[in-house]
Amino acid sequence: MSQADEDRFFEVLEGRADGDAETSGARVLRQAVEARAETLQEIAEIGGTPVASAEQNEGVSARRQALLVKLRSMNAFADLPAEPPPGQTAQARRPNGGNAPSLVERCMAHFRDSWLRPLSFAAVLALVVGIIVQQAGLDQQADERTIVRGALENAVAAERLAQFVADLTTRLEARGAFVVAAQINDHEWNLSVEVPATADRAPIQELLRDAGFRDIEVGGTNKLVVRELASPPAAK
Amino acid sequence: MNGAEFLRRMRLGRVEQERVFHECYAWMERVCLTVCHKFRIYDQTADDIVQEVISTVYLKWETYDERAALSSWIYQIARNRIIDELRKLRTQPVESLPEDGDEDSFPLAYLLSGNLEQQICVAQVIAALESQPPARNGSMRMVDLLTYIVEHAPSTEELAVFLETTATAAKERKSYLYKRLKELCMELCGDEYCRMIKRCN
Repeated sequence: MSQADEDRFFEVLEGRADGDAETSGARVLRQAVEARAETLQEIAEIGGTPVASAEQNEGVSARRQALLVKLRSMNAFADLPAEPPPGQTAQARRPNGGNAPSLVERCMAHFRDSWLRPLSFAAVLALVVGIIVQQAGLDQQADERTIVRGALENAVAAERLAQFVADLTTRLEARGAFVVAAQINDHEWNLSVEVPATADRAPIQELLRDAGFRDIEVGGTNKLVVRELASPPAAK
Repeated sequence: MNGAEFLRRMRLGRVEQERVFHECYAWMERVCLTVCHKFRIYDQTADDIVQEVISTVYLKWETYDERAALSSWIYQIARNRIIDELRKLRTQPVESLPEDGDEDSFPLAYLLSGNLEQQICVAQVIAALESQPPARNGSMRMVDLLTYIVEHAPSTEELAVFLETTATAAKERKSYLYKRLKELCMELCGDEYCRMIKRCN
């Protein structure tokens, strides 16, 4: 690559020459860099700092509400320890960030070059043998009389599921409940409703009763199910 | 709320995180739409990109480095998502594009000179430069050097003043930028669409 090629590239990049097919990349790069600078400038003009919205709790747009419901179902909002332990990364602090690798690594480091290593190996072996022995007994017939299947679920049926769930979520939250809504499929949503002990139970119970649910627990997490209202069979 | 404040509040837990979500939503939506419109992406596609970008912000907020402006971070997420959109566009037949729409209905990729592959290539090269930290503390990032060269077409002496160095060192930095662009171009685009320089071999 000669100095002449480099000079030619910068001539086109700087806009001092139009270039040709062989330097079209330099021209496109110039346009892209200019567009980037303009965009960043426009964003800066919007305001570098987010401004609190006056409509924070009311008049929430459907898109915003839908995104909020989606983010909750993805566990995006989660409590974290206030201060990270020294040397621990942000990712490792996240509750759903996966601490397992670091735990395994720590165990490996702990047992490395130690007399505990053969002992830990023996313990794991004993555990495996125990599981195998336990599994071997599974082919025995269970006593069906002691098994209760199909516990009652707290479910209702509704038309326009997404709208129903979004409305219910908004109203429950306005009364102090924490709600996580997850769409299971086109016909079913699951709601996890947590009522803090400090919240007033009565209006939440009333709201849920109006929606068709049974009473729920305070201080625990309640699983609710919303299904699509089955349409009546077409008349023959 | 600046970037540091954003992080501080996000670390307070889910109640505060949801407050931040509500407070920042309109602002983030506007930032994302500005980026989309710059790439001539509108309507449903733009709305979908906005939703995905804001989702990414709240799913990956712990990776945000508060030394950069929050808006710049959001810009980068949006731009990367748009590159993905352009890649999807690459797989669409040209016949599927409207024939009689006004020019705003076409993506920028079709309006700029060069082909779509080249647009994607260049966007990726700039993204790679953006993610590259300065070589030393206090030195200028290559993406900023590139922007300065594009915007000011400086002489070697002017570049030396801008970089606060000697003319010889400024020339070396410029040559290094050229070399790095070539490397990125080859790495990200391969030979066929890499026409950043006369020849990329």
